[in-house]
Amino acid sequence: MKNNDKKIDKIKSYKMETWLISSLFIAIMIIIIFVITKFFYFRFDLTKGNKFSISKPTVELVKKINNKLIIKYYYNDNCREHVGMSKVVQYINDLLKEYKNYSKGYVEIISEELSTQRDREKLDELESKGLSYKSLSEASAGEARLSQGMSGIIINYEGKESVIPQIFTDVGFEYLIDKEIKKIINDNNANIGLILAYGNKSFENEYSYLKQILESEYSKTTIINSGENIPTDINVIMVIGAEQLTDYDVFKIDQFLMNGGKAFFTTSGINILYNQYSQIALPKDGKLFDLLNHYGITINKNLIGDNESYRAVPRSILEESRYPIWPIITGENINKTNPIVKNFKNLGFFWVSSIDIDEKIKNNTEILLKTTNKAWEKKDRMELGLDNYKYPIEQGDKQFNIACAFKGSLESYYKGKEIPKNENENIKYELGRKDSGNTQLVVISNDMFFENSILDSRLVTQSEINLLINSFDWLTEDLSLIQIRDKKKFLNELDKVKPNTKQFDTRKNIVIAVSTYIMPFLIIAAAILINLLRYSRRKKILEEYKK
Amino acid sequence: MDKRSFFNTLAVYKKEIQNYFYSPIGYVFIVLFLFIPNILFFFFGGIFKENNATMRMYFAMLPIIYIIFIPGLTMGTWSKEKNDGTLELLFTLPLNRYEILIGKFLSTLTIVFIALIATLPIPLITHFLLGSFDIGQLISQYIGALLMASCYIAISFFISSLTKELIVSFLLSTSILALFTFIGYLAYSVKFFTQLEWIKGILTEISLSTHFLNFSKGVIDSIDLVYYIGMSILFFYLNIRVLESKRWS
Repeated sequence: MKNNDKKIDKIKSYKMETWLISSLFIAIMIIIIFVITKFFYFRFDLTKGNKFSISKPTVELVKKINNKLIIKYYYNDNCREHVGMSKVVQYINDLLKEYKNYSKGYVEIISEELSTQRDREKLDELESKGLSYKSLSEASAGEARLSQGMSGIIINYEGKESVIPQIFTDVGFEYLIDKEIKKIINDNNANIGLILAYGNKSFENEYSYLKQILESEYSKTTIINSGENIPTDINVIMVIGAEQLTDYDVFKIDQFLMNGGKAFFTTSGINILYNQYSQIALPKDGKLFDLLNHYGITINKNLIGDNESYRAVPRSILEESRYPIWPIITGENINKTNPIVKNFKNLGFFWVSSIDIDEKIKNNTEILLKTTNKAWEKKDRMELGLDNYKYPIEQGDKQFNIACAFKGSLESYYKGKEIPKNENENIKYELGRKDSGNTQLVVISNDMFFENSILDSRLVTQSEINLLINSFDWLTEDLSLIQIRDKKKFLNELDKVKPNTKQFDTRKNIVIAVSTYIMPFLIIAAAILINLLRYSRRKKILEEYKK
Repeated sequence: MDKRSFFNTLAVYKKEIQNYFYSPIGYVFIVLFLFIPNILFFFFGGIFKENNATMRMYFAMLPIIYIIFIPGLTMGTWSKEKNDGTLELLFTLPLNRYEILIGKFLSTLTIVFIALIATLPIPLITHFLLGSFDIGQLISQYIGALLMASCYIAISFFISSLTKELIVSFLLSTSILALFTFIGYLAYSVKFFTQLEWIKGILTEISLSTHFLNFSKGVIDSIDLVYYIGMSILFFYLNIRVLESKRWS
């Protein structure tokens, strides 16, 4: 008997040992599996539009980071308490975690909620760094509540600091962050040169907003005045207008292109003239037209009207006037394969001319935007007054090109010619001359739509601004941001019925009643039924057993 | 698993499911599981306050709901058998420990599954009457809820196997689950010294609740899958070892 007890004790202690060893083994296995999954990582974002996934260009950008990059997201308690803003805060926090997940440990995320009462000092410090407040209004139970929200990001990298002062929407958040990361890690090498050749206008006055947009998007923007050479570190130039360029200016643009530089031309073939009595357009002259014509792109000196698709002009609160000379390009008339414009739904222009493409460059040129086939052109006296277009006066039966993109080799306009004399005698041309070269061009036959007067009037939407930035991204061959620039809003709102209405409340009560009261009631009913059936079955068996 | 094992497991599963449905426990669990979270969801924040067609708030409170509800469902799994003296009888049957454990586990998971399915009228009716849901997100949330439940069940089973008293089993399971759940929240709410940041990382990695965050967003992540499956297997194994040791005690 004692022998048996000893045997059992031995088995028990042996069992205990194996128990401990194998438990330890399993725990180690789990840790190993954990480590392996960190390397063979996969994830499926099942949400519509991959809401919680950073896009491929962002993943690639994050992988390029080789030093500690700290993204600090600060928001105050007013943001969390605001119904709409609290969702944005959650979305930002969710998406920032994805940056960390893909970053090989180089991206650190700090998200901090600050109390408007207790963290006064910290909030003031952030304000001095550039973060700013925005009024948040909210209506609940018939009362309007107003508060000051702070929601912004500070990015630190190698001693540099970049600030995003305000983030109050989930639309374009990924783009905003990527843009700042690109700037701070110097991944964006686009240095833009700006040449204004349009009347007496200047970047300080009429085009200051355009300059501001470009400065916020790209690492460097330089204004190049007439007679000045194009600096060697510039890789893309933007030329607005055409008539103010000298022969030397045209020469430097030509040679810039022959040396691999790229250009974005926005100019129409007409000049808009206003006076007290009339508004008219007259054909524009300029040496740039000859240059573009030599390359195979002709900007016609005409005014295009589109009877099918145009922007109506408000005359009063109740009345809108037809104005076919402000055409809107929509649907199939937008090139659906070129990354510059493929995501746009519509784009509006103001007093635009048409573009013709020569046979010799047709294979290397993509038409980006076209009018409908019900458009017309005017070449002689071009009236712009609203009353001239109140009723259709032109029969439109043509389709015109408005914008194009070229990529390929061109022959120099100055091949075999002398270098033109620079009016600014102190500046000499120092770069080498080339008779041909590979280049990229974007040409839009409109020069007005980035003027402050148009931007201020809110006639230009985000799409037109994106057209500008997308063009630069295409020219610098950095297409990564184009894909996410239009990433849309993700929140699914309860929008089938207007909130705070009787119909909304009725439907809301149906949801609550069915899920909270009727479902439990059905479960209880099922319980009673099942158990009654069971009881009757048992009773039957017992009765049969008794028989 | 061979054919015999499959039928043995099925027999245990059937018996356990009958236990749940021929007694009030299964129904009480489902009714309370529907009633309490729904009240919290509809009247204390949630879908109508956010005015957003998403169940994210509902699933955000699920780890806390599970802390109470799952031990309530599983506390008797082994404790009651031991208390009633039926454990020895069960071990004399021609079934191995794995078949018994898997049968019991699947039956408990079925009850949780039914309870989760019974919550579907919230998104379905809202989808048709008030605003469109993101179906992909819903699928991920329900898959995650089921995986998380399996982990909670495995831990509660193990604790139930350690004790004889139902109330001890319940309280111990609740405490352990609460610990594993709240350490995740702790990691976010407590400020750590820079030197101790690694502790924060460990707490986040081992927490039952943090691995559910991705599922509740609509994202299925390999790390979360491995965590829930791994933890379930670990506690199953520990459970089996405890049962084995009982054989010799």
